[in-house]
Amino acid sequence: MEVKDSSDSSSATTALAGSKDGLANDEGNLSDAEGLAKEAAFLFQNRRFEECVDVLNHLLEKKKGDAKVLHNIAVAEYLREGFTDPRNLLDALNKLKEQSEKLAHSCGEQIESENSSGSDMVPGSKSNSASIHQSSAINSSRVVYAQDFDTSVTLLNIAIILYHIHEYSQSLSVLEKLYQNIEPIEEQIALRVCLLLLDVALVCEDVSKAAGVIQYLEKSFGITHAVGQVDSGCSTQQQSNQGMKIAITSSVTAPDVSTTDSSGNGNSSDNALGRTLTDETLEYETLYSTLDTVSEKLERPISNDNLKLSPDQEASSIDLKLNLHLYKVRLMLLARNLKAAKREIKLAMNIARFGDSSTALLLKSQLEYARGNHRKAIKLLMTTSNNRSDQGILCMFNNNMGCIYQQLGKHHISTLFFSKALKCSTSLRSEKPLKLSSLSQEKSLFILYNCGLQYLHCGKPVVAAQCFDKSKPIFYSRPIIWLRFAECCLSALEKGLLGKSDFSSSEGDVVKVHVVGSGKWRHLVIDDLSLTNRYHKCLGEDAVVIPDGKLRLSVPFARRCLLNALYLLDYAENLQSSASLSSKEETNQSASASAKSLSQKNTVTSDSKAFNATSASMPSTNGELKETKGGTLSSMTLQSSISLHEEMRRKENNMIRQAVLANLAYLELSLGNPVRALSAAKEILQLPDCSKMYTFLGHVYAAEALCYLDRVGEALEHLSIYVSETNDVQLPYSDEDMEKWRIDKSGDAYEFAGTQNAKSSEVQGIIFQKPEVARGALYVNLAALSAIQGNAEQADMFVNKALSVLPDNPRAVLGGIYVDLLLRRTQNAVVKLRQCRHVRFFPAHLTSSS
Amino acid sequence: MQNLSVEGLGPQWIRPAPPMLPVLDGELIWLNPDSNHELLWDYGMCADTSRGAVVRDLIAKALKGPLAPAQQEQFVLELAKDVKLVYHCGLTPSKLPDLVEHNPLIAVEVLSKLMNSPEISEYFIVLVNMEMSLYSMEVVNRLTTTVNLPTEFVHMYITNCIASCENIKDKYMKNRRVRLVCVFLQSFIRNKIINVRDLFIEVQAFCIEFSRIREVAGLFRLLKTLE
Repeated sequence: MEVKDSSDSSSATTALAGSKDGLANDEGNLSDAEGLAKEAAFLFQNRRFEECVDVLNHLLEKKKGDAKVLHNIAVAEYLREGFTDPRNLLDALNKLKEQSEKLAHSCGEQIESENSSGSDMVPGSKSNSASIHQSSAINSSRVVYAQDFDTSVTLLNIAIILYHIHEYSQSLSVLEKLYQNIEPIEEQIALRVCLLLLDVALVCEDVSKAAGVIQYLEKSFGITHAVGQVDSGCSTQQQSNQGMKIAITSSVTAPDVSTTDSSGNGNSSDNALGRTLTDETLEYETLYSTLDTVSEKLERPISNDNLKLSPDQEASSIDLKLNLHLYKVRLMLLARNLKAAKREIKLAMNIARFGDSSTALLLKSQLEYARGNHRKAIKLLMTTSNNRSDQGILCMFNNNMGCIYQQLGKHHISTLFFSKALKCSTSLRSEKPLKLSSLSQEKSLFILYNCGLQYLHCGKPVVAAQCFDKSKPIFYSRPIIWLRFAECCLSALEKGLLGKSDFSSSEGDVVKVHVVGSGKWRHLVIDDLSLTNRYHKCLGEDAVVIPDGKLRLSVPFARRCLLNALYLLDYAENLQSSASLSSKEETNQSASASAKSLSQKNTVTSDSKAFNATSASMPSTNGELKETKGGTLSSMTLQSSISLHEEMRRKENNMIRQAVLANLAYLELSLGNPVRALSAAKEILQLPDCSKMYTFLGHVYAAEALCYLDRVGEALEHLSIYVSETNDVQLPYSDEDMEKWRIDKSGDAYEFAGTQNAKSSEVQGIIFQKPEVARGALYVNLAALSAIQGNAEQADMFVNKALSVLPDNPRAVLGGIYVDLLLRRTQNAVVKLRQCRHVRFFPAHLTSSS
Repeated sequence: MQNLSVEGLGPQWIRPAPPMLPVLDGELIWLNPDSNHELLWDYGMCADTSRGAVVRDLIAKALKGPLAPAQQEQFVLELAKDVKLVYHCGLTPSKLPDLVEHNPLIAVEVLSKLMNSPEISEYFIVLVNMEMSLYSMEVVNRLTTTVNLPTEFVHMYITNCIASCENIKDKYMKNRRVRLVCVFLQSFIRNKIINVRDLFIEVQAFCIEFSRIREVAGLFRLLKTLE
């Protein structure tokens, strides 16, 4: 093998040299340009951008309008000027891309015709080196065409800039285009495409895409595990393909087809040799992904390997390995596949011993955070923040601390950490010299979302909305942010920040009684709370205008947000159902478990990639299951992560939908649109596996809307679900139902029980009413319905029950008074008024308002 | 409701406010360090592309007639030097039949390198639909030993092989083809390229139809042992 290898490379170099000579003779100009290009590349690598741009401009004079030269000029100039305006560069690159694509298109036809004529020109000439050189000179022009219009680097750079300026969805679409046709792209660039795509897909929470890329990387870069240095361009490529080369030379010199079954006998046929070689690498893969404590075994295959790696390459291939593990951990954390994440992080930590393990530690901390082991998470986080001078790391540290304390229910500490993180993040922007990476490190938008959530739950809706508004560029396509906006509005409404005093519930907490007249003419005039149930001025006058933003918190705005959220939820659902449908078909067709994870957009690519996936996970010719075990195992965990994530997404979206619809029905009732309120409420009731709490809300809202529509009978139907035959009203939901809604976590969250209380005490307005309170509301409403239907006795019965549950609720009291008045028990009514703590008596200087 | 009200007071209704959705798992954004994505230099600028030209030239020749061993070796060497070269060698699916007929070894070489290409299924479609010959069988057989072919493709190819036997009129040619297909199938079964159960009926029908040929009897015995 060794000998063959060296002869290969030597003959290759001579061939190369020969062809270069021929080229130089024909086109001296070109080799001149080549020299300049090499010089420019060298200067670029050494970050001498000033000189680099000079050389490039010189080059441009020789090759006017050459897209690649222009591309490199744009990049070098941008780097020279210190990343001032990424959008400018983006525009320039986009223009270049379009230009190249146009040229490629028009030349495509030309090449076709040239091709046919070119092949006519060399009729059956045998191995005549002169003719080869000659024809290569002829062909060179058109080869230059084909590779000149290759826009992959330009596209990748566009995607990189988009990533750095946080335009993730756009970046994703550019990268997808590259990824769909990744095979012809040069190895180093392809690797970069994949890594960036992974990052972007993870930010966009597209788990199945990320899993597809990981599988692809494992397959095409993992097995030959000699991936060259990322930094040093294309020079390392030759070595990195040695593994492939050996296998191929052997298969060609294999004696005969019919001897394929000779692989068993130790005939040392080249074919068998090639296969055992790949077996070895595969086995190495298996070792890698199955064993937890591989550390010492891990080094053996590398040293035993036929592929001689330079220390540098070895290091970078380990780097890639480590990165892949870390990406997998991130993916599994996103998918809440915590067990698998734990396994994966162990593997990563084993490799990370060789180098920087801070990322691995951060992920480990995130894992503990996700599992609810908050103390452990904090401890781990502390160890990662040794480098406290680095603003980027400090920013992450503070933000993550904020997350942990939020989960612990320590909202003030959490707020503190988040605002610290924000400060660090903004200071990154002013850092000099500015780097492109500091743009992407600037995570303000993410931290702002966290802040918003925190403020909302602390009862500061206006600041919260301000934060959400700023984080919109990243989150606008997620339904949850729109729900949060609406919650801000509702919270502001509840606090009386919106509109006049007539809606705020703080006012609604008291019964206002005006004392009119005196002596025996004295009357008590009670303000009817029902009037405050309506939100009158809905034309936007009563909005809270957020400082420095165009955002106005108002009830109509809340409604628009909720409709946005509903639209996005529907969209996501359609997408998911169609995706799962097509993936089912695919799995049926190719019977491959891993096919599901691959992109379904382009049928051709997905087909072929599905084939690859099958080939990667199917036992090979000699039927040894062992060697592929590692591959299938990893693809299985990825697969299960994808389905876990889908399941979680479905559940979350269901929760969000319930909340959105309930908010919508409530708002519509407030706005005086009973028809719309009714349809929203009915939608809640039709949801599959809707929680009992929201079912209750749905019934109550529907009943109220029906009352407004004068359909009292139907309204009663909605409420009488909860009434038993003996006129008892059952609890609409139990404590367990509320627990279930709150915690849907895996069992190992042992700290959770302690934090529960802290949470409910410090947070306002999050939790559901207690089941008993909900039942009280049912009593009051049933009393109202009975009264409307003229059944005063029944109303009286309900009202008494209501008062026993909610003695202090002004509405219940008023309901009682109302029924008393119906039954002409004025004295009782007055007693009730006196007993109620929430009554305020006003002197009678105002005229009767009734 | 209004007309029932007693002296301006209406029936009372409690409208419970919807609760705020609790913070969902993973809703708070946890930050992790980014990988460093730097802008790239395009090394393809004014690059030497003559090496690709050699391969393109050889492919053009290979479509016309058999290459000399030295040329074959050169081709393989060139391809091995640069994995991505195969995508720029000028072969298209429509040209594949010519390559298979003249240079099956080169075809195997190229196809096995194109396995990851998005276009590979098109190549397979061409390979299945081209006229059955010793060379195309050789290509498929060799491919099965170097790469994992998609099952549907292998099945379709076998079905076509069997059908091609029935369509030959000349008796001598027919016998030759049947024997060839037999060896081909036996090799597939022995090497576990196909699962016989998937094609059992077709293969059995083939065996019964040509049972007078010695190789077919052998294949039939092999089938029986697997049953």
